[in-house]
This record gives sequence, structure tokens and C-alpha cells, in this order.
Amino acid sequence: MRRIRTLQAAGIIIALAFFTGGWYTAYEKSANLNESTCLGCIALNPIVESFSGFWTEYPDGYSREGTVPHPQWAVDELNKGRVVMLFFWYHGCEPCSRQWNDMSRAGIVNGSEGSGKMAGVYAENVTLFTIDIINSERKDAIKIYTPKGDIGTPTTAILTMKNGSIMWYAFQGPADGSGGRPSIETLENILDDAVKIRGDS
Amino acid sequence: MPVCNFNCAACPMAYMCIPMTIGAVVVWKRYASSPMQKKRFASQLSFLFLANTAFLVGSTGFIYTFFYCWEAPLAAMACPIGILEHAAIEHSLTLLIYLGGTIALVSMIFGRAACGWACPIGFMQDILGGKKAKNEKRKKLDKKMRYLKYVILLVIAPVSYITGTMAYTNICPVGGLTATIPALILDPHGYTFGTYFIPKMTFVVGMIVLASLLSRGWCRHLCPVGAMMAPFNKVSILQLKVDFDKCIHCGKCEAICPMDIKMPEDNKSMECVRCGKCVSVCPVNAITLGFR
Repeated sequence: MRRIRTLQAAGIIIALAFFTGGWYTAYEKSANLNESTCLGCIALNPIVESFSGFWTEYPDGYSREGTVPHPQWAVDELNKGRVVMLFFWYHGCEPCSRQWNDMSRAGIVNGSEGSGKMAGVYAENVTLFTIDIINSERKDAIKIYTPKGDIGTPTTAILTMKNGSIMWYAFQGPADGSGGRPSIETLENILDDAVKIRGDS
Repeated sequence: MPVCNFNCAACPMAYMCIPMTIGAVVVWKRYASSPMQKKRFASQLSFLFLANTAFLVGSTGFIYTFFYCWEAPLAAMACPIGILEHAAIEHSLTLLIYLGGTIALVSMIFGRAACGWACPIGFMQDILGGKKAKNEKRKKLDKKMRYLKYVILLVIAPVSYITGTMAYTNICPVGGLTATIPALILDPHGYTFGTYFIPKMTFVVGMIVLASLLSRGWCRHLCPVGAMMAPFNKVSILQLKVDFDKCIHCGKCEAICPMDIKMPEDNKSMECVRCGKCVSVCPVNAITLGFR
């Protein structure tokens, strides 16, 4: 009986040490993971507003109205004369990987989700930010571009500029051509439009 | 903060509380048999509510010590299996330590009591009320199938590590039941189906059928969270204690056990969910559930 009591006490002390250490080092990460929506995990992809031109303000269907608070680091790239593509993703997100691989195969991007760059003709004109929504310092930017201000991956946003005014389009869920979301071919056309607009202004 | 006012259309918990409340009312007779079972009923209802308090406390970084999906619309804590998968995918030792510490701490104290007293999926299985394995052939199969949950648990991390995907979560029936279906109920025209929708829903149906046919079938054969906690039953502070001097070997405890444990001899079984039904049914009070 005494041996069992000792074993129990030792077990609880070790478990408590692990819990405390884990809580101190991983609580925030766990909270970030919990706050985000893994669209692949629930096997559902949102129906979105299909692309019919770039927006300048928040469109209907967004919970916010008026001017969009684009992040400064994206605006800085636009001011350099470039188009910006934001790809919000995270580890283990199946639709994120699928969209990334499709974009890779189509020659839009190359490299991995974590450190990828624009490829081919887009490399000259488009700056890509791949943003890990759990670990990146820029993770909060996703809330600007999702209709409900939530964190759901994958989310893609394309920003361009015309006469000093920022124009943008964003969609949540993979670029698979269903539910209003663009197909990879449409995504290429949107990028081409964005580059053309930026070049004309 | 939303207030109920019996306005179900405005209530964020309506999708869940209505079916569970109807179920709970239907099965109340089973719980009303003893004070301990009434307490267990109150505990299960309370944890069902606590698991879904994101509308009060937001999404916290604490981890559920039972199986519940963090993608559920009102989930307040993180899924233990989701954390395990992320620990493997991102090679995060801190997440693994946090998960291990959480499960070990609760299980060292309570054993697998979370399965019997807190888990909403356990509660659902109690409501579905499947039958016990009766003939010898089924009992043998049941005994073998119990190892499956340990295999599943052991396979999750390596598969996630190798594939870099949330391989279990993609087809998880608990997620399908508590996250996918509620999301569709709350916004029926808001989604298209993803790659894993059909496999996930197939597993949801499978889980419900299993739990309807076999009492606590999910806990017995497939639950990887139960598998995490099971070994702690041997050393936990909360234990079923049997006074063999009082025992009259009537067999009532074994007959009522939803996990088909060989009671009273195997009172430290890894399968015991500490539901206390054996305590309630014992005619001579030979079995007690308490901290040792």
C-alpha cells in the first residue's frame, strides 16, 4: 500500500511538472490552434463571392464596412510598384497543401508553403507572403480578409493598386473552382488582371 | 453574452442542446436509479455545457481531457488528438509535453473517470444505450477489438509525422458529429463539401451504429483518448474498491457494467470508465468508488 502511495505521489508530481512546463511554453500556441478554423478538418469549404472585379472597400457579405485596413508591410510592397499575394496556411491543413501544390504545378509559385516565392512571369511583378497563421508574426492579417473576421485556412488575397487606391480580392477555402472560389486558371487570370492594373497606373 | 430566454433561433447551443436534452429526458429513468447516477447525469450535462463555453470565455489554450472537437462552433478548449497531430507535424516537443502533462495529471487523479463522467461522446453513448456482448463468440471478438484503440493511438503520431497531414482528424467521426454537422446546421447554404466529407460522415454513421449496437462501443474499441488514459486506471487515486468479505458473488455488478469488465475481480481494469453503475447496483454495498 505504501509503495502504491509513493508511486501515486511521484506520478502526480511528474504529471504536474509536465503540465506546468507545457502550459508555460505551449499554452499560447494551443490557444492559436484552437482559435483557428481548419476547413480541411471539418471537410467543408466556404461558399464565397466569386471574382467579378477587384474591390476597393469591404463588399456585401463581409461583417465590416468601409475602408480596409491593409497591413503596412503589404502596402509598402504595393508602393514599390508590385502586386501582393497573401497566402494564409498552416501545417497539416490539407486544402492548403492541395492549393499550394496546384499553384506549384501551374507555375504560379515554387518552393514550399513555408518559404515559397512567386514563379515564372509572376516573379517579376508579384510579391508573395506565405503566412503561417499559428506561428507567423503577420498571422493577424488574415482577420482583415475573411468575411467574418475569423481565422480559416486556406485564405488567399490579391492586392493591387490603381492611382494610389488599393484594390483587392480575397477568398477562403481552396482554389478549386467550386462554391464561387476561383479555379487555378481563374486565379492566374486574376493575377494577370492585378499585374495589368498595377502596370497601367 | 447570449441569454437563453427559450429563444432557440438565437441560441448558439440550440443545435446541440435540443437533441441532447430530448435524449437525456428519454433516458432519465436509467440515471434515476441511484444518487450516484443522478450525480453522474448532472456531471455529464455540466461538462457538455462547459465544453461549449467559447461564447463566454472564447477559445482558450487548455486541452480537453476527453474527446471533443475544437472545430465545434462553441468549443472552448483544444482537441487532445489534434494537439498530438500538430506536435508530430511541427515536431513540437512543448505541445507534446503539454498534452502529456494534461492527460497524465487528470488521469493520475481520476483514472478514466472523464470517459464516464465528463465526455460528451460517452454521454451520447449512454443515451444510445447499446447492448452488452452476449454470446461467447461476440465476447471473444469484443476482447480482441479492445486493442484496436491502442493501435490507433500509436499510429496517429507517426502517420502525421510522415505525411505532414492531420490524418486522423481528416476522417474523425467526433469532429464530423460535433463540428461538421453543426456547421452545416448553422449555415446550410454556406459550404461546399471537402475531400474528406464522405469518409468523415461514413465514420460518423459507423460510430453511432457501433454505439447503438454495443454499449460504449466507441469507448471500448476505437477511442484514442480513452486509450491515452486507460493505463492510469492501474495507479490512479480514484479507484473502485471491493470488499470481498461483504461480496456475495451475485454477479449484478458484472451484469450491469457497460464496459463488460469481469467484476468484482477486475476492479482495476484499464477499461473501467468509473461510471459507478456497479456501485449503485451492489445489494450489499461491497463496491465503493473513492479516492485511495
